[in-house]
Amino acid sequence: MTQPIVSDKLLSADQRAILDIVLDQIIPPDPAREKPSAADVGVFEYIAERNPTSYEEIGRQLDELDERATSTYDQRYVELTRELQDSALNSLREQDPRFLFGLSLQAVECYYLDGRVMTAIGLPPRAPYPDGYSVHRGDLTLLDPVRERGEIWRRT
Amino acid sequence: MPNDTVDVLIIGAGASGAAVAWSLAETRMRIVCLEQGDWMNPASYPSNFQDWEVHQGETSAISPNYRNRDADYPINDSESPIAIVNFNAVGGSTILYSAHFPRFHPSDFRVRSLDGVADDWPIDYFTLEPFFAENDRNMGVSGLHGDPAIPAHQPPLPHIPMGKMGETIGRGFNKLGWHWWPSDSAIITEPYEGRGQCLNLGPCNTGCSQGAKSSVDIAYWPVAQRMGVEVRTNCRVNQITVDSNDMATGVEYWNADGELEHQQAEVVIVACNGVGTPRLLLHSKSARFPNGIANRSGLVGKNLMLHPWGGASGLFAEPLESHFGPQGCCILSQEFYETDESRGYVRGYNLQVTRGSPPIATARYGVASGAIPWGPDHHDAFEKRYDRGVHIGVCAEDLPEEHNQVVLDDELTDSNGIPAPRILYTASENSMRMLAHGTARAVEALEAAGAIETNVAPYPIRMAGWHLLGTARMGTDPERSVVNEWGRSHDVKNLFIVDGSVFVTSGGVNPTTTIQAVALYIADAMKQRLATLFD
Repeated sequence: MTQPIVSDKLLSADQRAILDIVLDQIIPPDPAREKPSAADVGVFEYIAERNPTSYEEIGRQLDELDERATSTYDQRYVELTRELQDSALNSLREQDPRFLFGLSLQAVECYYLDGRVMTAIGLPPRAPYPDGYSVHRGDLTLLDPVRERGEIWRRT
Repeated sequence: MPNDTVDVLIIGAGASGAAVAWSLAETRMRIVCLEQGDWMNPASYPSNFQDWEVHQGETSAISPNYRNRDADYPINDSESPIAIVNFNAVGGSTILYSAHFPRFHPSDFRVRSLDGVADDWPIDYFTLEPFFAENDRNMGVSGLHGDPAIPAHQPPLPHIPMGKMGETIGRGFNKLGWHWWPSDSAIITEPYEGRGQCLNLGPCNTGCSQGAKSSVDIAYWPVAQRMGVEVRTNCRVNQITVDSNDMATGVEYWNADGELEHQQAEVVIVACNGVGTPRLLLHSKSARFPNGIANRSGLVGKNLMLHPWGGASGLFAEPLESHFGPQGCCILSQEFYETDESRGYVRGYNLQVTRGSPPIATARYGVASGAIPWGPDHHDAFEKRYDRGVHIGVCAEDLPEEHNQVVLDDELTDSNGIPAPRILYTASENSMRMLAHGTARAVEALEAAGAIETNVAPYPIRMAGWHLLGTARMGTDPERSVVNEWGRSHDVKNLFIVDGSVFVTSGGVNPTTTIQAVALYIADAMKQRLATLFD
C-alpha cells in the first residue's frame, strides 16, 4: 500500500512536536476501552491530505501556545509537565474559545475513522457497503393501541 | 438525426419526468428526455468508503450553490429563510432524497372547502388513488397495510425495519395516545424487480450504493429506456419555442458538446421541479408571451410552497442502535395532520422520526457544542451520546401565498448565461405557529419515550427547502391557474407541466409520491385524449 506523500513544510519540527502533544490533550488514550490517543491515528497526514491550507492557522496557534508557555513558565511547551501544558492550553482556550477549534474538529474526524477506534465503539472497521448492517424489523404488537383507535383520516 | 421532430419532448429526468416517460412509452410515440445532468455512478456514493461521513460533506452537498457541479445552476435564495436544495442528474433530487413516501390525504385536496383557506384542487385523492398504487409498484415501496391515518392501501413490500429506536419512540407515542405507524418508504426491503434489498447502510440521502433506494434512475428509467424512450444527458434547455398560433414548437438547448441546438417537438412536457420549471417558463419569452410562456395568468413562479421544517432531538440513556437503517425512514405520526382551530393555526403537520447521528457527526457536534470535552472525559461523554440520539422532524403544511415566488435574477446566471432563479419567500405566521406547536409535540413525544435530554432546532430550518411546489398551479380557471385539471397549459395547448409546480396546496408530508401520482395521472389523461389532445 502506498503511503500518502506529505510535505514536511506544512509545519516545522517544533510545531509537529507541539501538535502531537495537543492531539493527545484533545483525545488521550483510553486503555480500558482499547482506544488510542488522537496523536496515534495519523491526524497530521489526514489534514495534510484533505485540508493542507488549514496548517497556516494551526501553525500560528501552535506557536502562540509555545509563546504562552515561555512567557508564563519560562519553558518551551514540549518541556512542560502535562499539568502545565493543560494549564497553558486552557488559558488560551478560555481567552478564545475558537483557539485550535478547527484542529479539534479535524482530529475527531480522523480519530473516528481509525479502525481501532471503530472496533472499540462497536463498529466493524469498514465501509457500510457492501456488507451493511442488521436492524430488527420491530414488534408490531406495539401498534395494537393505534389499530384499536380506528381510522382517523378526515372524510371529505 | 437528433433534430428531427419528436412526438414528445420531456425536460427533466427527475421523479415526475421519469414517471410520465414510462407511462407514455406504451404509446410507442417517439419520446426524448433532455436532462442537464448525467447518469450517476453508484460506485462513487459515500457509503462505498470507510470515510463516508467525511466524503458525504465533500461531494454530496445538498445546495447547488455549495455543490457547484457542472450540471447545477445557482439559486439566489438570500431573500428566503429557507434555502433551496436539490440535485441535478438523471434521477433528479431522488438521488439524494430520503425516500420517505407518505401520501397526501384526501383532505389535502379540499382545503378551501374544509378549512376556508387556499383553494381546492380540481382533482381529488380518489382520482389519484390508482396512480399512487401504480407508482408504488413501479418505484418499489415498502410499508405496512392498515395505517388508520390514510385510506387503506397495500404497499407491495414489507415495512422498513423500526429497530430498537423505532420501538422506543413508538412506546412514547403510545403513552400519549397518539397515532404512529411505520413509514411508507421508497426503499425495497426484499429483492424486487432485479434489485437487491436494503442493507441498512444508513446514508440514503447521499445516494444508495446498493440501489435499494428507489431513485428514478434505478426504478423508472431503465424500463422506460427499454420501451424506447431516449434520454439525452448533459443537455440544458435554454427556452421553449412557440409559433404564431401559440403552440410550442420545441426547445432550444445546449447539447453535451456545448452547442446550441433546436429540438422540434409535437408536445413539450416540463418536469424541472417547482423552481426549475417557473425559471424555464419565465425565461421563455417571445412576442406572443412577453412575460414568459404559459404565463398569461401572471401566476408562473407565484404561490411557491416549501414546507417549513422544524425538529427536536432527544438523547436516551440506553443505546438504541439509532444510526443504523435508512436515515430518513422509520416511523411517523400524523396525530396533528388535520385542522384543530384550538391550536391557533389551520391545517397541520407530519412528525417524521429519523435515525440518529453516526460517530463522526456525534463527535463533531459534541465537541463543537461543548457536550463532549477535550481531555480524559472525552470518551465517557462520547459514549453517553453515541447511538442514543433520535430526531423528530416537523413537516408543516405551507399554504399558497402569491408573494412567495420564483423570479429571474437580474445578475446571477448559470454557466450558459441563463438567469438564475431568485427566491422571494417568507414563512407565514400560520406556519410559524404550526412549527411552534409541532416542535413542542416532538419534545413531548421524546420525553414520553424516555429521552433524558431534548433540543429544539431553530426554525424554520434553513437547509431544508427540498419540497418545491405550487409555482404553476393547476385549476379550471385560466385567470387563476397556469395548467388545467390534467396538466395542460391554458395558454399553450401542446405544453404540459407534470412536476410539483402544479400543486394547488402542499399537504404536510414529503411530496414525491404525490408528485409522481399526479404525473402518472396527467400521462394517463394525455393517452385517453390522444386524438383530441390539442382541442
